[in-house]
Amino acid sequence: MIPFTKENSQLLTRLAAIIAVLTILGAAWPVLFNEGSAAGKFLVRTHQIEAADDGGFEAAMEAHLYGETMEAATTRTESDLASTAAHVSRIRQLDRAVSVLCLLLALALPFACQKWPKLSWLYILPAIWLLVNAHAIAINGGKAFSELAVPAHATRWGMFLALALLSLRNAQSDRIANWILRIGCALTFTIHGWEAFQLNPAFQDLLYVTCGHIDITLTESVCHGLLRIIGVMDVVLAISIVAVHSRPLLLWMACWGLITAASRPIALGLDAWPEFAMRLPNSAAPLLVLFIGLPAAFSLFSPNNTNQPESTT
Amino acid sequence: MNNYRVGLLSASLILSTILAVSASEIDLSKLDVKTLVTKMTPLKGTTPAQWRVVWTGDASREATISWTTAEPGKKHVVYYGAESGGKGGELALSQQCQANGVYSIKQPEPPEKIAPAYYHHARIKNLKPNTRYYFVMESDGERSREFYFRTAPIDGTDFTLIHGGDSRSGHANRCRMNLRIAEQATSNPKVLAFAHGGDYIVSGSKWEQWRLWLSQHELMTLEDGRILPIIPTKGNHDGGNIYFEVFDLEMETERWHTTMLGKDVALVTLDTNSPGGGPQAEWLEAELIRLRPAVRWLLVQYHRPMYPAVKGPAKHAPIFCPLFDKYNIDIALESDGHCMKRTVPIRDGKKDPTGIVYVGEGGLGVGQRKPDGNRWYIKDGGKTGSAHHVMRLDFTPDNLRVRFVLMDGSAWDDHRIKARKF
Repeated sequence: MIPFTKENSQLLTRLAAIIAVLTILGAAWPVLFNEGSAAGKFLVRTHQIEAADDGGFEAAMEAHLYGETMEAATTRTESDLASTAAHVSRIRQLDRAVSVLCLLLALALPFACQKWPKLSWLYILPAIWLLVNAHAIAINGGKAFSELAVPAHATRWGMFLALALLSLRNAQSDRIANWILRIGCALTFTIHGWEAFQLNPAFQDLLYVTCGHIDITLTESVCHGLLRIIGVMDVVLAISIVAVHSRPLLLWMACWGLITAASRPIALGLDAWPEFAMRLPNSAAPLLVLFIGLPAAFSLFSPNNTNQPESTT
Repeated sequence: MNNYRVGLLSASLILSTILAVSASEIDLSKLDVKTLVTKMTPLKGTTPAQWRVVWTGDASREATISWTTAEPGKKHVVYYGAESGGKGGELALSQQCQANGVYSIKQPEPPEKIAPAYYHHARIKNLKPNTRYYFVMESDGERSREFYFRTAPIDGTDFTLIHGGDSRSGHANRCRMNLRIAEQATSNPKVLAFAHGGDYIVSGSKWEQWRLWLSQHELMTLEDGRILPIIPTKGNHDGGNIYFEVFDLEMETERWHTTMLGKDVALVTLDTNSPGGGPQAEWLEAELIRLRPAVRWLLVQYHRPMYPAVKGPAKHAPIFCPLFDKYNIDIALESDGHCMKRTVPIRDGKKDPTGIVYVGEGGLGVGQRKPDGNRWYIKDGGKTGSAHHVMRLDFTPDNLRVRFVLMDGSAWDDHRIKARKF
């Protein structure tokens, strides 16, 4: 067991801060250089639909073709393309500005919090950004299991909440951080387990391509079998992290989180590094739980494993 | 003096015709909601509405004629023949619908309620190649007007295919693009069919969105009753059962398919919602072995781009692209990005004059995005832009001419691909 000392506490927050920077960098990269964030896309789409007066068009069609709306349809005029494009451009700029702000916060806060620990509450801003984007993914749809994005991304936004608390360096906030991380891991691993068990097409392709790299031709039945095993394992790990404090299990969760994150660039090439970076909390969160060393719901393993942290405030 | 008057009269007639044509061009972009909606058929009783002709197999000899009714009805028949039935509507052949059913409708919270609707599919076979087939749909005695479509020629490549994707929002522009496609077919009788690259609507499980798309699809019907058969692709927003019910496809076995436009042109449709590896990759390789070098023009279409101009590449790229390269497909038709794009020829992930050009990205009404023209596969010889568009593919034995046609009818890009020699 890693004793929870002042030095370890600092090591812990430093590790979390580095992972936080990488996570935000991975999440911000597509916002800055590709299509934008999920929230940005949602806002753009909403504006474009309003500008095109889709609501009015739908009402007119429903009244004329399907007889469902008896009221006369009121339609607005469509906005001109130039004003729509200008508004979309403003949304894109705002989207980029928010991602840069989150990145700057993630970079600056580790230093600022050493002097002013209360500034750590600002970690909540990136957490909210990640949470809002997860929610936007769920609304936008268009991907298998996208409706589960909020719990699936729980380690990402949860790690920033935990970081805000860990940077305060007191026993009570550490206890809360411990539970945020445990619940975050449980949610993420459960959803990933469910997706694997349900044979998420993206997961299947990760297996097919990764095996292809090492000249193994995976049959469909083997691929499905592997994913179902992975699914069961993920759910067992999810339950275990809230039920017991087991060092080997936490270490395996951290390794497994790293393997699954790395599977993206392994399968898709180095250009997919942002996908790896934004999934690093899947590995870091169990590691942080291990470092914090506080008990889970049942302490089945030696109570010696669950040292009460020293107050460092 | 008389000659002078005749000359003047002829000149004014020509001038009025030119003005009328120009006016219709202007009117297309300014058509208002009311005008567009009144061109569609109300869904009422057993009146056939939302008609479409679907091609997913041998387009020279087979087609599926589909329509929707508001009530289930009992008897659904399509009457068809190579000769028009004229005003009496008597056609030589008939086919009872082999598949009828209610669309999968997820009811919203009360008091809102969505009326049920019913699909009918008549699969007609043993058609003659390169022949006009006239048809009338009938449900419980309610008949449609007479329509027709043309089967693909058995050999030869003297025809045009229209491709476009992403019609999931922007209803008015979606309708205008449908009218633009109809106009393309009117002005060029060689247009044979329309291939949709997917993302018909926002949420594939919502019938209330599909019914709008289906009614708007009627606008692609030409004034003389000609219907362009549709070759469907599944987009990432087209989840759920309704896509399969609309296009009469088996969910388990027809997510990917090959449409043979005669023996010289094949369009392989892939599904980027399903895993690229496993059964789809095995099927794709078998199809490409079968088709190459047998067909002169081998095309693939799918929704998510392998070489995108806006997003990151589809996870299928490491699986599909090596097969495209290995079997030398001629062109890849892509959607999803909401922009216009033509890449440089690509082979093994590098620019290569013998490689494959990836074109498209979708603009059938959906709001357009700003593409990244600095990507390596675009900046030195490729092209990007943002506008509603379709792609017009003119086949000849030696060249495939690919033009992006915008909503106003102008061409944004005009590119030729030479036939490969084997």
